[in-house]
Amino acid sequence: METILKTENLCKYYGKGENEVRAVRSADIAIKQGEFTAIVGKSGSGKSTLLHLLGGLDYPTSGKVWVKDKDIFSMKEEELAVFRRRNIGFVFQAFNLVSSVNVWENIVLPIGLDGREADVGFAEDIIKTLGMEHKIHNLPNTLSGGQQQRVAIARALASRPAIILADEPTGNLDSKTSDEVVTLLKASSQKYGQTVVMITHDEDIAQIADRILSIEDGRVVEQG
Amino acid sequence: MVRFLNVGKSRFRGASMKKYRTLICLITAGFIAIILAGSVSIHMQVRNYKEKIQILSVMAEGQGEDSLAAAIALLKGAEGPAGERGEKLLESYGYLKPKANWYSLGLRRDILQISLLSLLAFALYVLALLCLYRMSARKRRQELQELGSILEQFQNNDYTLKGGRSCPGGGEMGQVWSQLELLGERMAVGQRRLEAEKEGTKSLVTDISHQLKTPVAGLKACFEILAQEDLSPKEQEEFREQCRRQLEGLDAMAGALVNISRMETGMIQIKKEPADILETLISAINRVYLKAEEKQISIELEEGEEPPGFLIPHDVKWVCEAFINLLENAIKYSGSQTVISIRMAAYIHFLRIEISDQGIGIPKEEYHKIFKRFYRGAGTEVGQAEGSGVGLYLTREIIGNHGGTVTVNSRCHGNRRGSTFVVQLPLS
Repeated sequence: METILKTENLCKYYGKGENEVRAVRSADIAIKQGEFTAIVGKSGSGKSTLLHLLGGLDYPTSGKVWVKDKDIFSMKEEELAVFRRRNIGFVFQAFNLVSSVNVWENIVLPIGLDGREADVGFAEDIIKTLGMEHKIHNLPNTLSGGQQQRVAIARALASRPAIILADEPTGNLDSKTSDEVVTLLKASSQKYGQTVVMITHDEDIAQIADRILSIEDGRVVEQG
Repeated sequence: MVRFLNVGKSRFRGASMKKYRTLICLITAGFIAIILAGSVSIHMQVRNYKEKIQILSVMAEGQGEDSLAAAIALLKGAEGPAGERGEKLLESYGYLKPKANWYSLGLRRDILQISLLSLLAFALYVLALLCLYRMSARKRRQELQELGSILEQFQNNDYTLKGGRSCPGGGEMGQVWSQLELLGERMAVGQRRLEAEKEGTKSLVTDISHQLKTPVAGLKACFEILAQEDLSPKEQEEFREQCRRQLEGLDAMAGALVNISRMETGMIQIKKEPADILETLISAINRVYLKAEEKQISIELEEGEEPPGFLIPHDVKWVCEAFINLLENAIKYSGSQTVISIRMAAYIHFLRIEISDQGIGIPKEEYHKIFKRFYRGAGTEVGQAEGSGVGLYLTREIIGNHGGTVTVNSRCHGNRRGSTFVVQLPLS
């Protein structure tokens, strides 16, 4: 199968000399189309830094990241912004929904902002898959945490990115809601053939992934 | 693909024939227009010449007042015999023969010039038309060649259309192009699926042959020892027992493999129909009841807050199989006189079923691995128990096919020993 995301000797160091912190050390990762990968690590292990590098939100000290065969750090800043918008979907711990517009608008807005036509049928199908069809006119702050995260997942799926990066998507949720949200994320990404990389500190959550990478002191190791 | 190509070709041949016909029409029309324009201007020149001759004839006749009157008559455009005499006079001197006077020569020259100019204009027109035709033909040919190269590329299993190549504008060509793009995408998806399937089958075969090797080698060794004659009856009995156990292992594995191969080859389709999940669970419990009884393990179904009985779309036979696998595992790895408790609760989207035992538990590092095909725990207790390492794999496959998940969980039971398996099945 096609490799959709690849890194080569990816490093990110903060500080200098004795204070140098090696957040990510020579990571070589290859993620295939349609794969659901979990990256597990304790807090401070460098997993968020790694995800930011994969998503082009932060520049590495050295090394390369390819998304869809494109070296993302060779692009100019504006070019990278456009590429990121089209090809990388994000799901964050804090949901990051726009509080002034309703659920439906939150889901289709990014597509419109990108100057594309939203595929209404597809968006509706996602919303149904995630069980939010009765809530599309609600404002985000009237929803529970689990529901808000489902909206964020729908938003990421609706723009059909090459890859979705989820940073502790269940960090703000209780354990049973976490199980539900992650199961939905898994089921929907499976349904739409979406590639997902999820970061979590929770090994129980990580179990549902097709593949688990663990990160410790900046080193990425394939598990099992 | 071949049919598609043919349609494309004949369409373009039709188009070029049409183009050719219009070319001939255009040339003919141009020819007629230029002939018309030429003859009109020649006609005008001839008339001009005749008028000049008429004037000259009048002048030749002329004397005194008459010539003035004749000039006025000419200016008034009066038709008449004016200048007839003069004309005869000029003719008698031989001036009116072709090429015999200056004006006649001028007329000839003009006619020649007009003809030449017309010819030149016509030639230019034809040249321009031909050039245009050539250019459009070349464009067509290029497009066709590009289509051909794309089809060739398709044959080599490369289905990526270069982004820059996309055909501008609409029309027939644009349609063909977008169709081709769709075809490429569909074929790429099919190709990928095929490859994944092939890989899956390959690894399955490798796994199976690997799994079969160990018990077969064990059997072989036992038989070889039994063949030696210097064994005491007690030793013989022991090795026979060994053989029997290896055979049982093989038998269990064969059963499991049948299930797996059905799953893998897609011979068994999960058919989801609304049914009471509680009944499915109870029938699974009934199937493992005897084994639990043997170890004096009690299976308790804890009542949730919700009324028991959930109508959930699921494949009764396969979900039952999944539950049996989980329960058998719980029984296998629990000591006697322990309790297996089952809790069931409906959440927003999923029915959550927790099966907790008080058995040996599973180290955290193995959480993910235990669901892999043929994986068996590293602990000594696991090694002693019968098993082929496919039960949990099959369970995850079945539940996954229902759009649910199965995970093993330690946070639900605090300090107590044992494992809790959590099955989540979608409510709708």
